[in-house]
Amino acid sequence: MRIAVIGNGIVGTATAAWLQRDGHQVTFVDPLGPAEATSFGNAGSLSPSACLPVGMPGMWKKVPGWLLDPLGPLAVRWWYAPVVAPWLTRFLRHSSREEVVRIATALRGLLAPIFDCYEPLLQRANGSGLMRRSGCLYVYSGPEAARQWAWGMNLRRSLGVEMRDVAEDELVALEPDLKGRFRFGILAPENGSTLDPAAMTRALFEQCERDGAQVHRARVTGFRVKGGSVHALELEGDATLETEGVVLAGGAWSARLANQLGPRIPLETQRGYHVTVGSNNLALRHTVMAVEHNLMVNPMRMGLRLAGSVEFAGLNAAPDFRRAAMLLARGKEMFPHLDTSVTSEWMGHRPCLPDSLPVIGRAPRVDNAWFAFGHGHIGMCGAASTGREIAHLVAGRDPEIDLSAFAPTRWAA
Amino acid sequence: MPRRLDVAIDVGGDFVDLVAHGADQPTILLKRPRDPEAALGATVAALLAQAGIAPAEVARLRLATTLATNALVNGTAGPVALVATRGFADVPDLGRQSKRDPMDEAPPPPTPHWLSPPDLRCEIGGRIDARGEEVEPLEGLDAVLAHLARLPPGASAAICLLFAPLNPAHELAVAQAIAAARPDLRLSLSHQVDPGPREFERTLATLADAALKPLAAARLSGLTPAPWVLRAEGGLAPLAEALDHPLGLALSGPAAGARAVAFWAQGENAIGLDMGGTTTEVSLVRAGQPLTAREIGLGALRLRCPALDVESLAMGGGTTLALQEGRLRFGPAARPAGRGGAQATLTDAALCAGWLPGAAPGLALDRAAAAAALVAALGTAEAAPALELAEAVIANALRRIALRRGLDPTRALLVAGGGAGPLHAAAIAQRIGARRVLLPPTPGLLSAFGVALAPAAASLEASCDLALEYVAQLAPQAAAQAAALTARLAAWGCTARPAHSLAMAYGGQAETLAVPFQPGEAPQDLATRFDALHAATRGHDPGGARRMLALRCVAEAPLGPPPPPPSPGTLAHRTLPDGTQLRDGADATLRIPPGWQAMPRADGALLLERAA
Ligand SMILES: Cc1cc2nc3c(=O)[nH]c(=O)nc-3n(C[C@H](O)[C@H](O)[C@H](O)COP(=O)(O)OP(=O)(O)OC[C@H]3O[C@@H](n4cnc5c(N)ncnc54)[C@H](O)[C@@H]3O)c2cc1C
Repeated sequence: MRIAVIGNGIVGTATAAWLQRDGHQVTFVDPLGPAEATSFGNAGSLSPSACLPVGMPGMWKKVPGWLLDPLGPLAVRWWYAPVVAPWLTRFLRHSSREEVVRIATALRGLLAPIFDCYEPLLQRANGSGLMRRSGCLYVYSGPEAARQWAWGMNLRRSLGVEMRDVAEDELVALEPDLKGRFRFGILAPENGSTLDPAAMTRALFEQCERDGAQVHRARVTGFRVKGGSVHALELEGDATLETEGVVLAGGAWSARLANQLGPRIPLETQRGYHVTVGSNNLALRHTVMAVEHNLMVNPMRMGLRLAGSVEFAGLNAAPDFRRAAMLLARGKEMFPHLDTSVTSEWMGHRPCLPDSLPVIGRAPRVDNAWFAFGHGHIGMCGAASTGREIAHLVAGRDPEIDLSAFAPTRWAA
Repeated sequence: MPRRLDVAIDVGGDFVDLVAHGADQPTILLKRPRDPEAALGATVAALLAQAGIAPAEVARLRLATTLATNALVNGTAGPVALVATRGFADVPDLGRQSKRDPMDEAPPPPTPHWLSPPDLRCEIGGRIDARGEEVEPLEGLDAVLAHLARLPPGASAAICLLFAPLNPAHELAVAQAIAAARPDLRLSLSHQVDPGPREFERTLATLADAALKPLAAARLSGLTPAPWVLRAEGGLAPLAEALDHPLGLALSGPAAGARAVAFWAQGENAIGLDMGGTTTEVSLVRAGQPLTAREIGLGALRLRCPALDVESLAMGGGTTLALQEGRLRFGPAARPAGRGGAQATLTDAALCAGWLPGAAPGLALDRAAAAAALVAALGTAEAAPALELAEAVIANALRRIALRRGLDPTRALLVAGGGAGPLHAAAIAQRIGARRVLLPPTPGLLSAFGVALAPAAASLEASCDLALEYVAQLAPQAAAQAAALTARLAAWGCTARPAHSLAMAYGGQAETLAVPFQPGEAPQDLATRFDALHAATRGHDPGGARRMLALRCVAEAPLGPPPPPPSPGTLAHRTLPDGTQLRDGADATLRIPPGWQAMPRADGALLLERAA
């Protein structure tokens, strides 16, 4: 089949690669190059453990704080509050214990095969060096602090995530750079990360091209539908592109297109920031998640990346790089000896649904379009398994994981 | 009456060595540089001629060869078609997903790309479960046959289905169908090549075995008489048998060296240091027995295959020297090793240091040229730093290798062979804290001597997963294995001595240890033996549930009378100004640093001891 893939972020690219394995002829349609949007600057964590939703039990108590502290780890810009309020209401509704267990179970299905789904693609693309499986350390100021998050950690364990408590002395042995600040840790040995998310996406993209993918640099504005099938894409500037099938993987910008092919999908952007310390002088071997700061630390090939922060301000507002400065300040607290003479900053748009689950499935109103977007905080993690499952759906095979929780129709009342 | 000679030949990377002996005949020893262009048959014929042995005088030909090793390391074998269980065709790429260095951006792929190209893989429906029971019947044979139809004549295919070692019915059915449709294809079945758990290791071993089949058949057939070939396990097998399972041919030379080291160790704990032109082979001996391993390492490739425990270091006489950012670096061995040229090698450095005589067989030793090469590479003709660094690198590796196996390097005997081993052994021993070094007579022929010593051997393995209490249940299977091996060796004309072992682990462990056992033994005795072995190898014995994961049987039989120990010959003595003594033999130079004393042993070996 000739399939157009809208979006060449990590999700579109990995999906295209899986489609090519079935012999499909893929055309990427995207005004930007590979990994120039959200897939460029994320924390690069590849975590089978990252199955908990953003909204956890008890979260509602914190909402007022989000509005009051514009530089807190989670913040809503005051002028955006009315716009995002209905979304936040839904978000809180999904944060009950029952909902969290349901969501975590579904996400775990998507994330458990992360490496099995990336490795064949990366081997073919000669890019397996960009992925490593060196474990993630969740660190806490002490065992009491860790207890606050214990319910979630135990939920992960119950879903088969291997997590091992690490006392202070072992923590220092594992990562001498953490000495002094953290007195307790939890090691997720199965976790991994990429040394460079943009390079990993590009490696896969370039292999897709070598395997015959075409590239069309344009923004898609709509679909031409006839007899229940999409037969062409409408492009900016009145052009069209004939196709026999479509995968929509437009990240945070997918809603407008998705809403043309099915019921409205409440997609919102959670803006995140990074600071990459090019002058990194630490010798970290794991990725480190500082749970209390909501900060992910990944030793990458271009330096030490500190990433995190959630900001509700829509797709168009300018970045507020004070938030990046906050990340750096936290990083310096964690690692007082970190050399921060060379740094760079970035903001990206996480494509988020209120239940923290992506949308994976066939478009409700047509028979030849599939949705693969909304991966929120875990798009690097979930891209390859999403691609594998989309390829199964396109081929008419049974999916390998239960996709019902990811259905595009789940908000149709 | 013409002579009847038992001829052992070791075809190495740089040299071919020969040890030939017969009743009432003086033993013939010969070392010659190898012509890398020559075919194996021509090499053997030329060597026999040079040794003055007529083809009719060869009663038995024994062979160790780097053929399989080179083919796998250089990727000159294969490619192989793979038939996998549905959903498992990616197994060769998935591997174990463990990188030695997490920041390495170009790690070696788990399966070399040449060995299993993705477009030569296909999947077949049907499923055997973890208890060996069929849960889905075989389905989709036609598609597999259609896929294999495009293979060229004589190509090879590997059949690797899930849980085949527990129930080979599906693999056998696929093999039968392929053999009927394409009788020319060479097949390797995973349950026969490597009947162990974990599909990646099994698949990789089966792919490698299949890759070697056409190559080994083409290169090894046609020798007369048909040789006995040394396998990684350290035993000889008739050629036809070896060709059926060519994976065993990998590391055949190093296995020969390990055999010889065990012989010279005379019941002691020993570390073998076999340093040739390209690599140094390190083997280990506990109480006179060579240690065994479950996998062999060839460069980045790790293949599961029963073997003698030999680790290879990329350091030999031909190792090149260079300065990088002011630091001394070792590069890959120059070709041909040690024969001068523009690149400076360790041999050049040894020559400049005055360690080597003016002439040696097969080596054009030119001190002026060596000094010039050294000056060009390092800016000085001062050789000592390079030699000391090389010895330190080897010593570090040796210490690590021995300690990982629970062998104390300070108490072990260091047995040194190979062309370069005796030159460096005492200095390396000093660095690892060992007090005694054994230099066998004609150390340069260590491996060939090992081939001459090696018994005929074959083994069988069956996987299981049982708590130790149920060991009695394995008795019938053990008896069947022993009977099968006895019959097989009888067909080779040998009387076998079967020995049993169990692959055991504590509950929850993935890696096993081989525990010797005799059918009928009580579980308690086995538990004690396993605990002691675990403590000796890993430094502790946690106790608790013990499991048996495989049953192995090895049958060995001596193949003719052993060769008499070679006579040491007369060594030329030299002394350096610092008190270093050098003794030049026909095939190697021994270096005795100050503080060491050399005592001849009755068997002709020289024992070096360090003054306390
Ligand atoms: C600070 C931060 C840290 C993060 N850390 C991690 C982490 O550690 N691990 C993890 O798994 N995830 C992480 N994420 C999330 C992850 O980055 C995203 O989930 C992921 O990049 C989303 O990928 P995507 O392909 O869906 O979207 P994108 O990478 O945003 O790609 C979407 C593409 O679609 C194109 N597009 C959009 N609309 C159209 C249109 N109409 N026509 C044509 N093309 C269109 C865009 O141009 C873009 O190229 C992080 C995110 C942030 C912001």
